[in-house]
Amino acid sequence: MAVEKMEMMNLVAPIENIHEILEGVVLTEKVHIQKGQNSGDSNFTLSVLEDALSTLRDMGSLVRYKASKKSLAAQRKDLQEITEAFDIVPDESKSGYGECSLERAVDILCEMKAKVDPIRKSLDETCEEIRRHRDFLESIKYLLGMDIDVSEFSKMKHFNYHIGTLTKERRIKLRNNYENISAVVLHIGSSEDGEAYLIFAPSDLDSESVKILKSLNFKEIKLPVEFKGTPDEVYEEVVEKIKTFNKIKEELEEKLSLLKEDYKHHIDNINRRLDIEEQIESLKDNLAVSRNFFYFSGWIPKSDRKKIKTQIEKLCPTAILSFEESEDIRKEIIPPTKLKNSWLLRPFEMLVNLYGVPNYKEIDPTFFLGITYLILFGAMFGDVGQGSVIMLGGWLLKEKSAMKVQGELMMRVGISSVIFGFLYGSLFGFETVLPALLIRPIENIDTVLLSSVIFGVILLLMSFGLSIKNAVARRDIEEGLFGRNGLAGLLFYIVLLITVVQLALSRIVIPIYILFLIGAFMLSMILFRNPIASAVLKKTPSYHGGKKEYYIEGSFDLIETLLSLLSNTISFIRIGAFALNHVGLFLAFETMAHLSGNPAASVFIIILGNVIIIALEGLIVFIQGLRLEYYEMFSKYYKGDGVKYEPLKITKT
Amino acid sequence: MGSVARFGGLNTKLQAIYGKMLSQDDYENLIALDSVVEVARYLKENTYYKDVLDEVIVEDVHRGDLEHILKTKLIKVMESLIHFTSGPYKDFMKAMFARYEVEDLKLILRAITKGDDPRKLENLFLHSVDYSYLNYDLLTKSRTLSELRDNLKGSIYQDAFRNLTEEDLSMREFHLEMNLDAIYFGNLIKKTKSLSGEDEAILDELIGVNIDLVNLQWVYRAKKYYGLIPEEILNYTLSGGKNFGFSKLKAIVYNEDSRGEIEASLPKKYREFLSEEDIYLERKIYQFLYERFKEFDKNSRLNISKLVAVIHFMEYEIRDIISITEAIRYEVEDIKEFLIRSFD
Repeated sequence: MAVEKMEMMNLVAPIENIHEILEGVVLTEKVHIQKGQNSGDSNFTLSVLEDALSTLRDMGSLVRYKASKKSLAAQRKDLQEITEAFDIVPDESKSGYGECSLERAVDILCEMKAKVDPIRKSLDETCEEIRRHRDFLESIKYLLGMDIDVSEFSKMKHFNYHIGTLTKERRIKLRNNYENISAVVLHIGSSEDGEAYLIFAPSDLDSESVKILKSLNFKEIKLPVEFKGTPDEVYEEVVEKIKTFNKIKEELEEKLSLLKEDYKHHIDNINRRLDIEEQIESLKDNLAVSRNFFYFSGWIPKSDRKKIKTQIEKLCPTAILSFEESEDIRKEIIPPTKLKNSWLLRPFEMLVNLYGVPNYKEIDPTFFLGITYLILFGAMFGDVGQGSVIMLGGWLLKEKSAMKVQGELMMRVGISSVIFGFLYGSLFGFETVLPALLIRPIENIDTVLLSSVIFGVILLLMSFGLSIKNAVARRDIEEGLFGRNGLAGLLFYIVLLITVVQLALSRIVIPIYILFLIGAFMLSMILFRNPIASAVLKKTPSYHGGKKEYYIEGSFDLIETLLSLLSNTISFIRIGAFALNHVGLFLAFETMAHLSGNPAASVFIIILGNVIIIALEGLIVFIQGLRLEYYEMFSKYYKGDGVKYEPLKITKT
Repeated sequence: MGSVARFGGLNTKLQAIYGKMLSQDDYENLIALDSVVEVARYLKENTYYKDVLDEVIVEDVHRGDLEHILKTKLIKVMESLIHFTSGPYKDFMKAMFARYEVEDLKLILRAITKGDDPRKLENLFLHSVDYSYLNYDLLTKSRTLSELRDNLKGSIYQDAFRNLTEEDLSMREFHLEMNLDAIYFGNLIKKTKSLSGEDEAILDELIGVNIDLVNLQWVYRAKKYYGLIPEEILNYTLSGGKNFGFSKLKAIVYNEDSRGEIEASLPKKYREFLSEEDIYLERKIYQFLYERFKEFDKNSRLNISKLVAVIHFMEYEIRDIISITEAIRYEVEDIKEFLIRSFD
């Protein structure tokens, strides 16, 4: 339930070891490089180094590393072509160390390429031949049954022939102008590409015919000269040819699969090596170098420090590693946030990240959100049967699809729903089968609504607590003591609650005017928080956008504070309302089932009702719960302006 | 959907645009100016072309730039209008945008023919970024015809390249241009088929007359300048003309005296065009269309005529502004004689 502690790892090593050390850094898969913090020329690493390594500065002047970067794009492309030819996908989920060096990887790659490329090329050519011959079959099909030798066509002295296709629109044009065309036009069939024609034109007029055909968008099919005999004979011949080509194709594929067997085991290693090298190259953007040394820094989780240290020191004993606690680093540099939560609540990190990644110094709200969300969902959607369906759906989602986190989330809220189902005594909507362990919402409407508001009040008070705690962590007196979500706001809220409760019960313990005075005092604290806090800290007040605007905005803010506290509280009534709604919706279906009077129809209506309730109400309750979390609570205590911890990774899950 | 739901919002918007178009006074003022720069400044300061001229430094504007800028206004207006349409009407408007794709493709083609780099054309493109389905980055990388053909694969324009070879390119620019036009109009007509019967009939006439215009220009140019054989000329004509169907075009193409033939086959209302000099022909045709659109607009009920009319009015307005700048440049006296817009 926390944000994992981060440390800054600073590394100095001789420049001749640069490659192996960077490889070590990449292979730990734990190092987070902060990018784009200081935009432009002053890079994060460099700015940190200036602080951390001032003692080393005399070893030479630090400059950003500018060595030419290796491009691995060509190797990448080769590998991709080979895997495509082999029809395999490199497995990227295997972890462990790259077993072959870059040199070896490139060697094997070249060797594979030399063997695969010619095969691939002739395979492509063969496929092209097959396609060409098939196309030809399509076109010569139209001539089948004619008793002429095809080769005679090309032997004609005074006539030329054209075979080809026309589109519908241009065909009409040709037909409507036959009388002006000095050629014999024979329609010989139709295909996907249009209507096929055989055209004979006098050789003397051929240039004219060609022009006309061009203007008709005529697509010519060429008859290869080598064919002889009637169209039927030619057809047979071509079919035979295709068969031979297919045989060649099979042989080539056989060769390829033999090669695949030989080289398959290299593919993953080469792929992994390329991944590593690419990461190393990307790391080089974040280096500083002097003449003999290079410097590098990045974030690591504190808990992994020892492991990383031994790993890197084993690789290069001359490397100097130093670690700094995040507290010792300059304030502007914000460490990345790595959330650490128990198995039960980990899926709720998704809901937190949906709103924003927690700031490193902030409390990770996952625990609070997880627990309260489970209660909220269960309370609004308490049903043993329907909850089990959601749980089952979640399990299926987790096992069978890529949406694992979503599935786990569904399982958890499903379980919560089942638990509340027992408390409410509800099974697939029926309220008579199970005993209610706690309460039947529909029988005790007032209690349910009131207790949801009370629960809401508790949650809001806790949110205030978290907000104050966060302000303390930030050392922010202005917000923590005098802010609307700070101590002043909390006290005002308590005063407001006491007043409302006293009025509701008509029993005045603390006189209203005293409450009013305290309330007014708190509000004025909120209004004047900037000058007061400045006075405490002995600073001059800084108003954003002018003094006048600050107070005008501030007074509206007060009204908003008052309204939103009331509405935030009342908002929680929806927990009870949805619990009632849940029962009510089913009642409607149950009544319809009774009215139908037909057992089969009743069963159908009940099942339909359950499906609708699970799908529709399940979704609504899911969203309403989220709304309460985000709007009513997060807005009080959570900023979510952190940077996610994303270490350099090779292994992909 | 009822015609009120379909055209209520659209026609109101159209009326608003119509109201903002240049008035007769604007025309008089523009004619009185002395240079392109002054025209641009006048448009920037006094008319609804303000927004497209906003970031333009008028002192640097040339005639060609101005034409392009003004046309982007038309595209902008069309883009805003399309939001008021839905279903087949939206599809129809999208098909109208294809016209600017065709114009851009012709630019690319000409660049390839001349051996220029099509990437330099970027500033001259007119197509609507939102309603174009072509990948211009890819298209402008084409250096040869076959590359362009491959880059257009899958688009409606691929058929224009059915039988074209590299050797044809320099000889037969018109081959592709006419084929592209045929595809544009064919597609447009296809889209009218799903509109209501009334709208289909209106568009049938309007598109038909447009096609007549393209065909007549084509026949005229092909006979006079390209020296094509009649069969070729005829094959390139577009189908779907209103007053000049295939057989009439055929008669014109095969007749030695095509001008006489055109005259003979013209309906009466067209006939007067030909009594004038060649230079006035185009203007006369546009003027005829202009009047026709005005008629449509006047008794406009809730149908598509207002949409088509306003888009054409804008187009003619831009043509007129360009004519005015040309006339100023070449110091022509009676500018009004060359304008589509008629003056009271």
